[in-house]
Amino acid sequence: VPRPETLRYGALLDALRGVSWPARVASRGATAGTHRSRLRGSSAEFTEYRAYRQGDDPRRLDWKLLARTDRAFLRITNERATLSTLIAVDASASMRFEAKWETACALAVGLAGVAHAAGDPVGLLVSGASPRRLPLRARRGVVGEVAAALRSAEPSGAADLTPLLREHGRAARIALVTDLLGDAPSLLRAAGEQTVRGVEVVLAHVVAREELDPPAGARLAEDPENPKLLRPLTPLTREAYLAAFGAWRADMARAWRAAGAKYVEVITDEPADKAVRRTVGRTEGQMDRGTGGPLGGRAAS
Amino acid sequence: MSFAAPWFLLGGAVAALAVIALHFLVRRQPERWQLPTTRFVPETNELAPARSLELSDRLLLALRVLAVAMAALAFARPSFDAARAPLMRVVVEDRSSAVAHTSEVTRAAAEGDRVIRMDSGSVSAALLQAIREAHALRDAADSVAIVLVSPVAREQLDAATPAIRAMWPGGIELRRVAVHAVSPELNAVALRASADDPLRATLSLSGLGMNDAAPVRLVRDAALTAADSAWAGEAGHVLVHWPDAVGPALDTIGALVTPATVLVASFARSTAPPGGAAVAWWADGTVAATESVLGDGCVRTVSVPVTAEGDLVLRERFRRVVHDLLGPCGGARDLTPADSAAVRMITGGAAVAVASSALSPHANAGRAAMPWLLALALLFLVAEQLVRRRGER
Repeated sequence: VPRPETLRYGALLDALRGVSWPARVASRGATAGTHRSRLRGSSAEFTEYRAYRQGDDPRRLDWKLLARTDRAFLRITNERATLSTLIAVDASASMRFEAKWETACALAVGLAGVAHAAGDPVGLLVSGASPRRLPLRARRGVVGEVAAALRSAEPSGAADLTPLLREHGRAARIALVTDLLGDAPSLLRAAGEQTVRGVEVVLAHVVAREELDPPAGARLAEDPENPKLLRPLTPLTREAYLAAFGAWRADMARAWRAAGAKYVEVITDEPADKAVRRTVGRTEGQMDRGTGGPLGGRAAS
Repeated sequence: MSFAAPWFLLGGAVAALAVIALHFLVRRQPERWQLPTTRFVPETNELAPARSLELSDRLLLALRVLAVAMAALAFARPSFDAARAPLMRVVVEDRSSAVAHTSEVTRAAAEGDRVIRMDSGSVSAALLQAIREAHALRDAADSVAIVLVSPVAREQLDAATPAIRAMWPGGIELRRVAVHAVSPELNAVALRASADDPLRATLSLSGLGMNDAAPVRLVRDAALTAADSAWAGEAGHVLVHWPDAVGPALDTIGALVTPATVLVASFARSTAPPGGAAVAWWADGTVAATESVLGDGCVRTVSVPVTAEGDLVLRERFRRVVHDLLGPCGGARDLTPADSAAVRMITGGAAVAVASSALSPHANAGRAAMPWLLALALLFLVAEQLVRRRGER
């Protein structure tokens, strides 16, 4: 029986049925799974022959070939393994803006669903005033647990994702769902360290449509994470704001890609299943197209 | 158009200006908006950026000002007069019995005058009514005058007259007419009674002669005739019905009271007199004699038993009682014309025509339009709410 939390995302999970999230690098895992493993083993999937060397396991000798040709060759096959996937969601106060939190939750549940469908262990980290953590698990119902944990979380405070990631970020693949409006440089450093260790890092940068296109008229903008920061957003300052925000997003995309992470910008008015497909898709250049942001063409090149 | 309370217009104008000022002051405070990307908004010194005047804003402002204006207009109580007469008069016609010739009084009023009938003979009451009427004419004429057509006898004035007269700011035009002739002193009575009636002795002792042509007729019969009634209806006639047989005695009472005297004696009371104005009372307050107006005269019924025994009818006090009961209709009257001081008090020294602006408006002036204007103000407020809600959406 599906958990009620899963039912909430039933349409999304249905839309993502059959979608795979292939690993970008060979997995180091030993548990049998769907991802290409670094290990060579004795699976049925033949790859090549190699001449027998002293010390090789004689059980891997191709005895039929030895009988026919009187030459000793080993039968080399590829292994398939699972890829532990950790989804880290930013729940700081800035994520409460418009539909950002709903988009982030749908994205996290969708990613968890896709990973879990491939048999990968899935874990969750949620930052914010009251952080939450789900350890890596491959058991049934883990997607529901992810949805329940996200539902119980309330975006508040200015807590950063970085400390949580440094402390609990032990996985072969880490998906970050954040608006990068916390301490972006430290998070980028932490992600860089992970990629150096061979961890696959995927960043889903959540941007609200209202941030890209603020409503007309004069308003006094107030930073939810820093109430002292008050600036008038007027027709006079709007253009400068849009230019600065666009430049920052482009910088972020460049920096994260340079750090070896996969960068995907998700706009809040984009259907969640489409955003998940772009995040797990293989071709990065195609993935960033059609976001409505200024990065589409640039990312493709 | 005139206003009963024009200062409300001034108040409304001040309120409307305040609404306009508040509208612009509040508009200059931009709405706060929690925007996570505030850091990308450039820092400027523009603390109070002006918004462009949106159509809904102007509509809101117009609706608010209109609501205030309508409310102020309602409380100012406007009156719509087609035309104002230069002068209107309130004529007080004395129709009381103090006037000798009524036609002399009715001649004074012209067409367009407001006429007030003074039937009771009280100048105070008539003046009060006239002053109220004059204030009500404030919106109908440029100036208002009061004309009093009366003989102004002494009995028509009372202690409240000067205070009531002081309520009218201008002078009062007084047209004095002839006062009714004072009834001649009672010196003869037409008596219809038996030869041994004890009252004959009383009348003789009082010096009253027996004359069938006298204006006062004393009837001691059990019932009055149609001729008696016809005679009593004539002006100045007083018919005193004092039946000598008043039925079986019900109880006894120790005193009889008339306006002029108190007679202490034992009376065997029987029937009560018919309804009418009381002119004599028993010691316990019940009525002993009544008077009813009949035509221009009156009929007086006395239910006081008179016996031949004893010396009651010969006593001085009994004679005074009889004199009271045979007095003119309405009792003793003082129809002496008021002196010149009283006349000056009534006329006053100021001009007779009083400008309308000096008069206070009538309490109900302009109230007809008030509910409609208030409803209109309410309508504007409801429309303002609707426009504001649509704007918020």
